[in-house]
Amino acid sequence: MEKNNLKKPAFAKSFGEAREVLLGNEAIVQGALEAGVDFVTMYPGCPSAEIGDEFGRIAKDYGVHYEISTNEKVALEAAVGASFSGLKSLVAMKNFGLNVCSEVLLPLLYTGTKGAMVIVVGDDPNCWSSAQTEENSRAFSLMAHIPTLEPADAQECRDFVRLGFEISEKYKVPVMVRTTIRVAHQRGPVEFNEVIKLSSSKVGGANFVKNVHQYVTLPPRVLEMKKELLEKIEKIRKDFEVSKINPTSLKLRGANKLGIITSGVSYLHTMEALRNLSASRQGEDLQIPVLKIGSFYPLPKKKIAKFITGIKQVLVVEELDPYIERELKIIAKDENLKVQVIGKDMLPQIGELNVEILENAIAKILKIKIKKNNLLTTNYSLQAPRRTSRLCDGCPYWYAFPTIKKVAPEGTIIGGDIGCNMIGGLSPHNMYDYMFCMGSSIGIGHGVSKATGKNNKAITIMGDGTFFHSGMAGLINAVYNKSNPLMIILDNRITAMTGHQQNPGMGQNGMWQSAPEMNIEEIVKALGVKNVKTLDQGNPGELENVMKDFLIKDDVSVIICKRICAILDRRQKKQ
Amino acid sequence: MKQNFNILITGVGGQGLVTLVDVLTKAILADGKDVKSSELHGLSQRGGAVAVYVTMGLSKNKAFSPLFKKGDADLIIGMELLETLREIPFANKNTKFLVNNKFWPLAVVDENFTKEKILAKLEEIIKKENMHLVDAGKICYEKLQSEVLATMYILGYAVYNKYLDIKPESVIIGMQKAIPAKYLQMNIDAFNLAKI
Ligand SMILES: Cc1ncc(C[n+]2csc(CCOP(=O)(O)OP(=O)(O)O)c2C)c(N)n1
Repeated sequence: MEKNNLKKPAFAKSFGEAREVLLGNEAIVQGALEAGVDFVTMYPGCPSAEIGDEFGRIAKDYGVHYEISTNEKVALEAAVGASFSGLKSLVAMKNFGLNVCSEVLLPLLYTGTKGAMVIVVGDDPNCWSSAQTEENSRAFSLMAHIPTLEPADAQECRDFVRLGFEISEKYKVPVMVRTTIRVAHQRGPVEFNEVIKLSSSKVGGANFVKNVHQYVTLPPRVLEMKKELLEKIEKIRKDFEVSKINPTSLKLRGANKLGIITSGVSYLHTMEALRNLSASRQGEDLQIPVLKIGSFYPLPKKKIAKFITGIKQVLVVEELDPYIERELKIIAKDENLKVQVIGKDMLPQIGELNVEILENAIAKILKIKIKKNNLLTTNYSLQAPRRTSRLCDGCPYWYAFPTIKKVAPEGTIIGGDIGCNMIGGLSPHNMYDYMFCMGSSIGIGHGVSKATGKNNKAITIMGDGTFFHSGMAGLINAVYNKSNPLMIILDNRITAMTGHQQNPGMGQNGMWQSAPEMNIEEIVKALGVKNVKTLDQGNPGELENVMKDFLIKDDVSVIICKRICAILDRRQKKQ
Repeated sequence: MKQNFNILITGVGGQGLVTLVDVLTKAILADGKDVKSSELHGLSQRGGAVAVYVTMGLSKNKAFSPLFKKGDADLIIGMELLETLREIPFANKNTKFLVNNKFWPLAVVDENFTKEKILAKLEEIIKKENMHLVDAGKICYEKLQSEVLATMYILGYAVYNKYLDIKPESVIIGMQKAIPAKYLQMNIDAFNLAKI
């Protein structure tokens, strides 16, 4: 049953339910709906893609505008426009997306927001579903001065998104909610509002109230804006000093020798490790206080100082780079506290943390013995061979890769890009000489072609989604600066690798509604490329012939290999 | 006293593991217990290895970490043979194995890891009373014309044989919540096929 302006929670079966097991990303969607989000933009990537996929499914029911934007920069720009017009917005992306939109993010902190805004960013320690780097988005919190919350579980995903909107509302700055893959893809019980109140949709009827003073970042005003920002941050820090999102687990007593400071999923591993350690000591409570940091930026410095006062050692449990550890050392020094800070000298800076690593570290510090794992076998010759990523059965790239390899003259430099085409860098294809980030294959290929001379035509491979995301600028550069790479665009009619999201070449928008279809060939021609051919690489000989023809050209050439993703094809035929 | 019951589910992308963990975690909550799980999405459609960790809090205990440690699995549900072998480090001497008798070949054939050799290895390491090889995929294909339902059959096998302490009614609630109406009945049928 649904009343006019009351809706059921996003992931409950029915009206009135208020508790369910949710995926972290689902809890984020629920939190945003409860906060009354109007405008959601995103660009897909792991581990945040499901946030967009869910909005694509339900946005209409809740009167929300949802879009998959061209790339993360455009996604944030769209949200800025909506925010200045008074709407509440949510932007979601993976860590690398923050690099792409940082150009917009930094000034946004200066201008501030009008409608509240939360930016969700997913990091991927251990690179389970990421190439390029093991990036830590927290660096941007410091650089952009963006308040940053770090949930540990699904409940906090919902709660922190709501809190993020409240903070944004109060202080008129965007707030970042930073997850990691083990939070975004963690399931657990979440309590939520049993109904979602809809106000009549504001999208389309919002009002941009001009405010040159606030929205135009020209000097000398821009330095004033910076001052305003830094003042806001100190006010927010004060709130965080007393906020329940930075809780301490035990009453501090003089006797505590060791304390632990942690954040995000590392908190959960820490608590499990402490429980296991006391269990292995017949339940003796180890009396180790834990400070859980929910607000990574700005850090509650006073609370931290109080926590480390009187304890001898503090272990900082955080994944990847030691940001909290560094701050802690500064705080200890400023406050003249003689505490030994243990962090990355004992815990890894690469990869994820887990219960086992923490049990060992804590036991080592406390000089206590722990029980060995009770393993079934220690015979590691059993180790199963890896299942490397491979192209799906029927994948259109099976028709392209062998031909490209065969036709490319000996010694040709071949550049790969992001997407399913990355698999071309793995066995049995092994065809890439470099691979960086979205859109870079053509930009770098231009440099290679220029540097090595006319007879060394580089070949660059890129997906359709990536072409729209950031491939065009590199192609313009190659044409404009008269270079000659052969660019092969693998147009499988969808953004496949991240879980099949829509892109501007498909004629469908993020909600699967019909949309203008961008024609890649026409775009490429308009950019000044003379040698352009769209073909189906499944037709015997066609790709080979066109490649041979284009490889002897003196200018840039583009081949668009248009053949539908096999999974999408099977799905469409089923329907 | 034991605080958690740890379940490791392993297989390859495309076998329906994400639906299985959705159903299972909702079923555990419906059964009145705390639960945490962790899974890897992403490349899962491409026949890549998938491992899902589920921790169930026992007798009102809280489940903290979504990721238990090596040697701590109480139950391993292996939807695929090679992936079951890969996760052996998470097993201890009492771990129960429910293994779907299905081999998903590697991209590049490895003579040391043929179906027969993997099975022999599993049977050599795992005590007979802890190893249950189940023809889940085959049975579901024959009886319900869908191999993907093997996950629900194995879940039924675990619940009805009491390898997993949750009530069948709780699983049905989990299914009603996690599975679209259109596919619900066939999933319930697969689950109940294992009830003997
Ligand atoms: C800046 C940035 N945003 C998002 C991603 C996540 N991502 C990885 S692969 C991919 C899809 C690329 O799609 P497309 O070019 O169409 O290739 P396909 O997977 O379809 O072959 C995306 C968006 C990323 N790696 N970097």
